[in-house]
Amino acid sequence: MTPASIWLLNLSSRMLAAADREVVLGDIVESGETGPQALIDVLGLVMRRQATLYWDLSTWLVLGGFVAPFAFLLSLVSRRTSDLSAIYCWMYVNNWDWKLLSYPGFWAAIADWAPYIFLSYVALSCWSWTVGFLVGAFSRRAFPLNGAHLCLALLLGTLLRAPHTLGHVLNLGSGRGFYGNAPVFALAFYRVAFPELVQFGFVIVPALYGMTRSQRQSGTSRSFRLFLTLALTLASAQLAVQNLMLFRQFLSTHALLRCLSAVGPLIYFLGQAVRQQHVSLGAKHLALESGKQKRFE
Amino acid sequence: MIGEFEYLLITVAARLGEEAYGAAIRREVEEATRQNCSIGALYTTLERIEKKGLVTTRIGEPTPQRGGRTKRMVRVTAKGIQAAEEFYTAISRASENASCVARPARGQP
Repeated sequence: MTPASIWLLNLSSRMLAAADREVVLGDIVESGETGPQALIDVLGLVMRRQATLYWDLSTWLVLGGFVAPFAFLLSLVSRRTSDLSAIYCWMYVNNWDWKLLSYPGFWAAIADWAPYIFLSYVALSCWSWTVGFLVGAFSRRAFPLNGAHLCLALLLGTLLRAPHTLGHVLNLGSGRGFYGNAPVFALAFYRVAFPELVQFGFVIVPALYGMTRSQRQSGTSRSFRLFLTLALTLASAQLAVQNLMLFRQFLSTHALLRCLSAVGPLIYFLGQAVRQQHVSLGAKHLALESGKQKRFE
Repeated sequence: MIGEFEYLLITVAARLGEEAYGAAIRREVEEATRQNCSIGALYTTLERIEKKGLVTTRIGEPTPQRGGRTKRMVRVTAKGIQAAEEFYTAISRASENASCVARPARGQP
């Protein structure tokens, strides 16, 4: 087997339970199977194992109660964010003029909208990470299935955009309908490709990263896990609330509220850093103690 | 009644006895059926018949031939043997005088 085949095989076998993984890889070594056939066998077993989970009610509850609604909302928020930034990209990239740099109005405009666009992308990434983390934390066994559901729901959310009848509830107007923006979305790049790039880079990648981080919670204290769960729930609720027209009138500081989206990821990574510090300090302490013991002996 | 693939696994595991484990069963099934037996089908079916109480499995010792990895040992229960016998009896009964079933020539066993 080539190193690439071995790497792919190890990666795909991680979707199996630990006991299954050892047994299956041992069978492949014993039978001397080649890379492609071994990979097909492992993926076949993964798919069969995950398919049995559809008989569990919990799978449908997670899909219908959390994955689908939040993935749909994320894809709509992603579309809105990409359309908004597409307008400014078109203005300043497709219609660039070096003389703009000498105009004070240009810099004032940049100072006005650039922070908002930046915060929008940060919030989108943090929300996606949060949703991915919670999806991954629901069930270790159903991790590949929930991940596939999340990606599929994000894709369907892109294809089935919010209908006009929801416009009075969801604050998700993207500016495409405004006739003044027609030149922007007449270009296929901003109409088709740019939203997909944004969804891939700022939704799918952070969501999948969040899912993988959720699997590394062993060894953390119960209080930290509880605190993290609360923070992530707050961020998820903020994702829903921030985008409801009903609350728009009361969110005069919505730019500041977007920063709340980073609460969950910040607490997680801070907690991991503190835990790592404790572990390394503990290891140093043990090494010192064993050194003292040896000198005493 | 059990299915044909479940019958194959139980029968092969019973024949292998103490040496019945995943890869060995798979080899025997492929030899008997002259077709590939996927790992996915094998272990999914093993899990199913274990839930039915027809076999029990345990993790065996790792061996160098398997790259130091463990194997899943299989043992057929009394219920499994009975289920396999019922399947064989049903198939034999259904195959009596069937034109599609090959018969030995006269004078040959």
